[in-house]
Amino acid sequence: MLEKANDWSDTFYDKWKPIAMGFVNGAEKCLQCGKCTGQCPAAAVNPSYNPRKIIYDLVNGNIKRVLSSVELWQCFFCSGCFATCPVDINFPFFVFMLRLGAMSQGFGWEDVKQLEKYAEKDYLQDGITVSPEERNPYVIEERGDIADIRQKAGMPRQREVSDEAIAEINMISDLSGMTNFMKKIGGVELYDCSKCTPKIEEKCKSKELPKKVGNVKTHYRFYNYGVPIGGADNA
Amino acid sequence: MSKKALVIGGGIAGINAAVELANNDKLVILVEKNGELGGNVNDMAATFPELDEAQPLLDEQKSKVEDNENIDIKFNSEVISVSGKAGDFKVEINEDGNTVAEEVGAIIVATGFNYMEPNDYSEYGYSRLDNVVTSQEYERMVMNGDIKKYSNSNVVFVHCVGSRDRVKGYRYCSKICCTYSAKHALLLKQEVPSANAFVFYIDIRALGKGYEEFIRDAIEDYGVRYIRGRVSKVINKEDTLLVKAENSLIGNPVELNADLVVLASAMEPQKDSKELAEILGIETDDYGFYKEAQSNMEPVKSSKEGIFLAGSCTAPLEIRESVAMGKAAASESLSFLG
Amino acid sequence: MLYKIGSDQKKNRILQKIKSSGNDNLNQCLQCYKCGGMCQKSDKFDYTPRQILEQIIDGLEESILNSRAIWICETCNECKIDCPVAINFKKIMASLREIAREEGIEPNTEEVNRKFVKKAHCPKKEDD
Repeated sequence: MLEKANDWSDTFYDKWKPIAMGFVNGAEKCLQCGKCTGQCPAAAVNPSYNPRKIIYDLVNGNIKRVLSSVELWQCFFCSGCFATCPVDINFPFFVFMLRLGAMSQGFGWEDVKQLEKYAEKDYLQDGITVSPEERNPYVIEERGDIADIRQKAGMPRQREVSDEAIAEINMISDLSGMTNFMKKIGGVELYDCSKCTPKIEEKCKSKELPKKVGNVKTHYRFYNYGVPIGGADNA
Repeated sequence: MSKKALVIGGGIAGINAAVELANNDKLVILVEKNGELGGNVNDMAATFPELDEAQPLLDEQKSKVEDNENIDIKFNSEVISVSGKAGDFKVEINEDGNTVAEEVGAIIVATGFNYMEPNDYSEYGYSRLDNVVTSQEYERMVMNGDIKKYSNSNVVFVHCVGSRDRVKGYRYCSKICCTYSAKHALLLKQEVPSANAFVFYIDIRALGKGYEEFIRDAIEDYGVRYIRGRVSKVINKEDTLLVKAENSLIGNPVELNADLVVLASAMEPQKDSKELAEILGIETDDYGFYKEAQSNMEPVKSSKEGIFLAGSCTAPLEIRESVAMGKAAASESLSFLG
Repeated sequence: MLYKIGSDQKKNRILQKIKSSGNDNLNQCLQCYKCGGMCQKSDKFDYTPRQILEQIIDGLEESILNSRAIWICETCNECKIDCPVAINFKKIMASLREIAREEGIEPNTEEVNRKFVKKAHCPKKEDD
């Protein structure tokens, strides 16, 4: 895709930089050496994900491409890139910020929505961070069921959290704004993009989304950093 | 009566400074830390951009010093204290445990550099994995013929280990690694034509006469494969090493089975360079390289009058420039020797 | 996606074929990005010429032959004129299309170069 450099702006980066102070080194230090991508487990299985290119776009101000991409949501915070970076760029933190930015532009809510039930049921109601229903089949095969192991050791099959602690968790959730955020996620509805025409797509991309709680709409995102395996143009 | 001159360091820059002074009928004291002249060039198999054997060239230089009556070589010795001013320095030298006092008119500092030990790079596994070596060790392997056993195998050369790295190394570019990695790959291709050489680079910085052509020749005539991307990891996998990196020209991660990984380790200042600077009363920069009086117009003068700098104790330099600096320092110091 | 560099250059079929069709200066490429910048069609390309070249050297057969770029190329030869080491990209693209035809790969774009279609799918006839 031909890009027009005069469409780029660095206002986004300038806006986020003060927030990042103390947590990350500036992305403009990037040497584009590719050490991050070389060790990235997500890049090894995914044809289009590439941390180096995302940093490059962030610094150059081509922020639209980053925010509307699917690739932004493929990082899973192993922080291998941060450990190996020769100029100490905390890329996972950038991903974290960029995802917030993307959500404010109306991208990527569907990925966040998937976590809703874990947060609501397991975390806020039961006070545990690991879902007892979802277990890693690999671990079960290798080590056995954790509940069985707990039982053998003379503990209850599931971790028990006192009512007091659950109330405390809910209080923290209220104070930190997580409860509000959860309400927002509950109101997310997906556009039906199967009926999308290029004209609507253009409108949809430029339109600001309503910021009202309980009425967040989300856009479909695009593979902006290369062609995915299926060759499809959008997610 | 003319005064003596003191040259600290018997590397290639120190040798040239001493010979130049001796040829001008000055008496020279050459202080060498080790029991042998030559410094880092002793570990070199060949020179670039012309692939001449380094040891005969060095022996020729060494014999110039050793045969010269005007030069008093002090092996295994160190400078302990310096007092006085330009033209009239009083120096104490520790020679094999005995303290010798000397009076000299000028001092030339040519202490050279040190290859960084990349022990902090746990991702490359240096000193943990057998077949990961530094460039210095690789040169020794070429000299004693160990390289011959790598027929039909893949050898990977990694640029910028310690250079251009503000976390585990130094911010500066070590200047010569690009060209000497090409030299290493060429030596491999000449000694063992069946081996494959892969060089991982970020940019190619060939800043010297004939260097660019030298590297392009390695790529075009000898088939050395250059891949743009810094190596991320070296993993021990069965008998071989698995090298992981990104080919950033395509944008894909890449894997490579290698039998030998050569790390182009950075040139760093000598470990005791700041202590010597304190003894001499001259300034260093943050890394420990000696500061010039003026970086453009006075490249061989130190911040103190009467003390001159030569070679890679000022910054990473190639042989050619170290020689030039040694001779320049000698000629500048003549005015203090009466 | 992650790929492996083959140590055996003889297995690199695509490189051998392109070299045998008279392009022996592939490794002179400086990766200076000039070709991708000046190409009229580069906004339609999925890979720019220099990226295709890099992939040929690494033998990434599948990704080159399935790319749009080899079909979109107009064979106008402008990149050879501007290239600092005069790599004949027209010829390379022609041989790539030939190989793709042999493999039975159909163009995966609607904007196939018309000149190529007119000349009965024979890339050799494209030569001056």
